[in-house]
Amino acid sequence: MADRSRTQLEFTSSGLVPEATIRDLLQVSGQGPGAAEVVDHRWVDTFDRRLHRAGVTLLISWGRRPAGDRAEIEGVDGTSAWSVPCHLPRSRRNERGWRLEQLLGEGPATLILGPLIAERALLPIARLRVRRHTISLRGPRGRAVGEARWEERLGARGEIPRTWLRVTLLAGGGPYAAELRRRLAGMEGLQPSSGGWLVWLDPVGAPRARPADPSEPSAQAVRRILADLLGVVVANEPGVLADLDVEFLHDLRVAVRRARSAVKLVGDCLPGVAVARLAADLRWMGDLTTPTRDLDVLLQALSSTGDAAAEPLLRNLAERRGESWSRLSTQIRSPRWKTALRRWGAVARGHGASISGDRPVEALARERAGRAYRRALRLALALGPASPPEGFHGLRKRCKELRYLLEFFAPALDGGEYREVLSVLRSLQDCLGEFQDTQVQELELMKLAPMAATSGPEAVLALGRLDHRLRERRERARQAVVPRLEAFARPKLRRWARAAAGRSAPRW
Amino acid sequence: MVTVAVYNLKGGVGKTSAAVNLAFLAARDGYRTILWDLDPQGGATYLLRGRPKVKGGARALITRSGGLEQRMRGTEFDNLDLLPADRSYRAMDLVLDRASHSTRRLGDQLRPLAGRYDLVLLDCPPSASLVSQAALRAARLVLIPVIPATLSWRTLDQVTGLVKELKAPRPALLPFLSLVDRRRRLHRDVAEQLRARLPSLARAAIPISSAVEQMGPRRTPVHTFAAGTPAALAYQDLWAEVAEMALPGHGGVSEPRPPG
Repeated sequence: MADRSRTQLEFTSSGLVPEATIRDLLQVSGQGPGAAEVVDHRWVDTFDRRLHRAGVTLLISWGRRPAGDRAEIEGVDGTSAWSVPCHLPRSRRNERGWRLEQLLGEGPATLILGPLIAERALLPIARLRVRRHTISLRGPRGRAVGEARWEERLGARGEIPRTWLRVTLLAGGGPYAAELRRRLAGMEGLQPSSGGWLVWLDPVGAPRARPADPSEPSAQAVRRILADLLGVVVANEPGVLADLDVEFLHDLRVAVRRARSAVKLVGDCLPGVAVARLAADLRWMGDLTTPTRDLDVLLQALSSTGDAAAEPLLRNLAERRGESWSRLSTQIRSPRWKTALRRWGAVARGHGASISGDRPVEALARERAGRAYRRALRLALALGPASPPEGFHGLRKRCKELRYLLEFFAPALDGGEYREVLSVLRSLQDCLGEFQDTQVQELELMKLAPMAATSGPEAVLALGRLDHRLRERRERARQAVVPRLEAFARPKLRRWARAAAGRSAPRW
Repeated sequence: MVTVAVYNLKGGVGKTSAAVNLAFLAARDGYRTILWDLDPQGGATYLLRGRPKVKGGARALITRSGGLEQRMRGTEFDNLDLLPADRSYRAMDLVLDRASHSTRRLGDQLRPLAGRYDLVLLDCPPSASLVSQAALRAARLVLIPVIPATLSWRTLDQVTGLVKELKAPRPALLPFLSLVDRRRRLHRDVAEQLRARLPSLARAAIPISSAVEQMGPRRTPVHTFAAGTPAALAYQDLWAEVAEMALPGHGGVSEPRPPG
């Protein structure tokens, strides 16, 4: 709630503080009726910690009665704690993750948190079972002074027993609130704290890539990159199998694609046979994810148009997406997928290096980035607004490779025009991505044409409108690409790439 | 942020009970709610265990910028804050009269709170004063408790007339039956006639109930001690209707905004 009307004081103790001690400490003029119950706390966040990054904590608390299920949100609008009802049926409590609307319904909290979370699901990142006591604190004439809530971690499974106390003092509590503050400041055994229980727990974190060290041998750096990417795939796999949200598949797919680029561009640092097998595995894994991801992107794009007449088309697409996901999940559960991951792990953990694998990664990174830029530039110079789509698609792939290289070896390449190259590249990629997405989506829409014809004239017209929107988007992207190509071919960037590739590099 | 006024010219019709219980239900549903006790009798302040005292009195509330936020008081309930009553509210008419844009004043003072709160409930005094006019002008929805008795028709007409005198945009009206005694033939007949005559009458009807009377000695909303009683359920139904009318989809309260 608004901070002017309430002040919250938090304390913790190692060990349990007897209830009588706390009640005695909190004695003002009177205490309202108290309540004690066992509560299951679950802190939730998206896989990539979007709430944490926005400074928000979301805690779901399941009490004894379903009516008491609440969610507590901290960090919104600078307020301390905002309590909203949790709508999740108890039977779904043990699922792997939930949508925000499933947890909080359609209320104001969903409106505010929704844009932060977007399409991601919420996953439990920490849990705790406590006994919670709540009492109202009263001043003279029965006036409300505040509320005290304390929770005891009961020390099951070797955990250290601990008490956490939060006293909320209401503005206008007068001398009684001041007296309470004095008592709390002077008490023994309880230390002021902040951040609630979460600081004592160990939340499950999302996997993070480790930065490159410029002096590291290339083979070691490439192995580290492959290991990090494998970690991303393994971490996202359960989310894809449970179909929690579309971003799990996206992240998995991007990790596979990055690994594929790494193998292609710097895989020669590692011994040959295993790498060749890994390249084939990665191609197979990447191809598996394509149909479902394409349908996800199309569904997201079409849902956002809000065209009611397109509803049957969207249903049909959703069905096709379901079938596609089902095929994908069967493959992810297959022995072949597991073997591919095992082989990937073996390459990442392996030993030995080729001749180029002993060079410092900085030299390798510069050389390969310069070479990748040159390949992309050659394609870019040949393109114009009237070029065929295949030309844009080819450039997009080369740009992706260059960007991945720049990101893999960021610390080794940092400085100079590196950031500018990355920024120009991102801008060009956005445009090429939009062009390619609309191209793929149009092909998918064409598959819906027979279905629309049988659904009636409204569906046909809706399909026409959707197709028209896609064409408009594609044309906009086509027009926007020219200045971005020019920026990419700027002399400054060419000089950077030539310098990166070394003196021996030919002029271009 | 949506402002809802609970108003009737007649006293003792259940305005304060309705305001307190609806504010409690809104807060329980996660809406960050303010209950502004505009009635100098301070019934809502008493029921929420607040102190009927506002620093600087009505003048500070009405004339100083940021006056409301500085005088906001918490309550024992999550998400529910109180702007308490004060004896100086008896002269609020004079303060408003001296201020510029007197009937717009309450709305103007509430506006800076829009980022922090979702709903404001105004518990209005039972009079046709400048305060009531300003409250009606600030509101998007006016709840009018009506006892099913012959005189209530008249006061309902008078309230409707007052709202019609306001400049546009005028608030929507939601009259609801209050203190209904189903054992009394007159109540049953008048309730039926009102339903026939007023299509806008709320579906929920608050029965006369000892549980609601118990709010006085217990100083708490009825749901905290008698959640299953017919009166508590009727308030819940009324809240559902209010949310449906004023808060579209129970989610249209405020624009999505990033936390900060």
